[in-house]
Amino acid sequence: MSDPRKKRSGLSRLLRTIFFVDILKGMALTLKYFFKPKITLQYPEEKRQLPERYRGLHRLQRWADGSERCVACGLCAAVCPSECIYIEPGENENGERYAQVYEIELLRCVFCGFCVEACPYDAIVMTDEYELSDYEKERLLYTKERLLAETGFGEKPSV
Amino acid sequence: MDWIDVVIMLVKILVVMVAWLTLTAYNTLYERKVCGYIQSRYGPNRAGPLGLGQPIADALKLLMKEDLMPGAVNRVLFVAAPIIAILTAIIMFSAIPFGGSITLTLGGQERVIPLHIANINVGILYIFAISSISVYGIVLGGWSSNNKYSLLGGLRTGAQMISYELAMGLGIITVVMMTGSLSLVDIVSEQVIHVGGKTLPMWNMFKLPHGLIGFVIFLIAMFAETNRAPFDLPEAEQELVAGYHTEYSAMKFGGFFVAEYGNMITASAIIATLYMGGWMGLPIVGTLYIPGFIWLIAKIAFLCFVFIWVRWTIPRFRYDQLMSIGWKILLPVGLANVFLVSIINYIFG
Repeated sequence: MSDPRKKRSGLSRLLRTIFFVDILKGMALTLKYFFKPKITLQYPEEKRQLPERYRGLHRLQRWADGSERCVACGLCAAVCPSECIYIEPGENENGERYAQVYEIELLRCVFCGFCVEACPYDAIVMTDEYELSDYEKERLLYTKERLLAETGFGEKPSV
Repeated sequence: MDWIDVVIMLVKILVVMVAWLTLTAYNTLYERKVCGYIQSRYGPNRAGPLGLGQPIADALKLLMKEDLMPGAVNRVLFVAAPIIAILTAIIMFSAIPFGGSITLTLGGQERVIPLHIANINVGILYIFAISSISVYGIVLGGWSSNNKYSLLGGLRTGAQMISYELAMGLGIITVVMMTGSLSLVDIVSEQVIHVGGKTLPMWNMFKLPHGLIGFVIFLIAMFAETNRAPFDLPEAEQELVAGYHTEYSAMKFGGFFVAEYGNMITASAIIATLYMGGWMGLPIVGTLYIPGFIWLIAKIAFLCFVFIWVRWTIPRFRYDQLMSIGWKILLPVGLANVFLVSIINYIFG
């Protein structure tokens, strides 16, 4: 392909115009793209490859023995820029603090991930769950039961 | 002419109308699909298999929308404009032959049914006349809307279509001089050569050099006549909102939409008839039994692809460029080509 900045002679320009050289070149380019593989992701059937540190729906973690990690310190609620986390602390029979109520109002959450960074016990993490839309507002108020993970990790430190 | 002839004619008209409307509807999908493919997308593919239900969904949506009539419009012309636009696109099709003839036994006697609605002996003049009338649909739509953008769009269309009609006429005259007839049936049947007892197709566009020059001029003029890119100045979005149909909504807008895509079908059919052998097939082994209308539809599909392909490749011309191409290039070249055809006819004819 010749350099388009190079100045052509008058005759060459005339011939190129008469035989539609530039137009045909453009048409060849679009035809090439016509046959190229398409880049559209057919969303509901095909899903995007998410990055490892994607910030999706929150999840509350447990220790390996099944008890909740959250001690209701309230740092996540304090750091949250959209103030979507509501915590009511309580005390269990062993005298340990835990969250009686832990609610995330997902409609307000901006998925910044500050709560995860603030948590001293790694109790709150973010998953790669992103299909969160719903027809009813009430269902987007995630309660503790819905946020708690089934499985846990790590030995609970003895006090 | 007894009643069976009338019935045959009505059936032919019905078939051609339904075919035209179906082709027009699917032409919209075709455009969106080709556009998508050129832009590395798939285009509509959710409504039905391969998105084939899309035209039905679009039509239903347009039909069920509220039929708005802006307060300041001229009511009669506002409604009449899209009707004129569709009508001129569809009645042009009546002169186009879509096959040779078939013989059927009806009412106890054999009848030869020619596969065209009207074999007008000045068929090409008829098409030329109707395409001039089609300016009215757009100009009236622009004027009756009582909106400055619509009016500008309508005026541009008027100027553009009238300028390019000259070039289009010269493209037609080339064919008429090569054929020696104004009838489209004759023009199709003349596009053959006889070589050693065989009849082979010899499309007008391959009769070098005058046929090809005429074809290119006619093709460019047809782009301008159908208001397709790169000559879609009547609806230049950046300057004129939506041009002549700015004030139109619901099915009245749908009327202009049908007219635009139907014009593409009709224009493709005319180009195919004049320059690409019409309904006659190619001498490919095993295609002898493919009927003529399939060949015509295939050629229409190919030419519509060219229309769409050009639209998604070439940017719109500026208004003065449009005028200078029409008057300073196409018209002189077309005239010179007519002169050339006369010489060739004189020497070989």
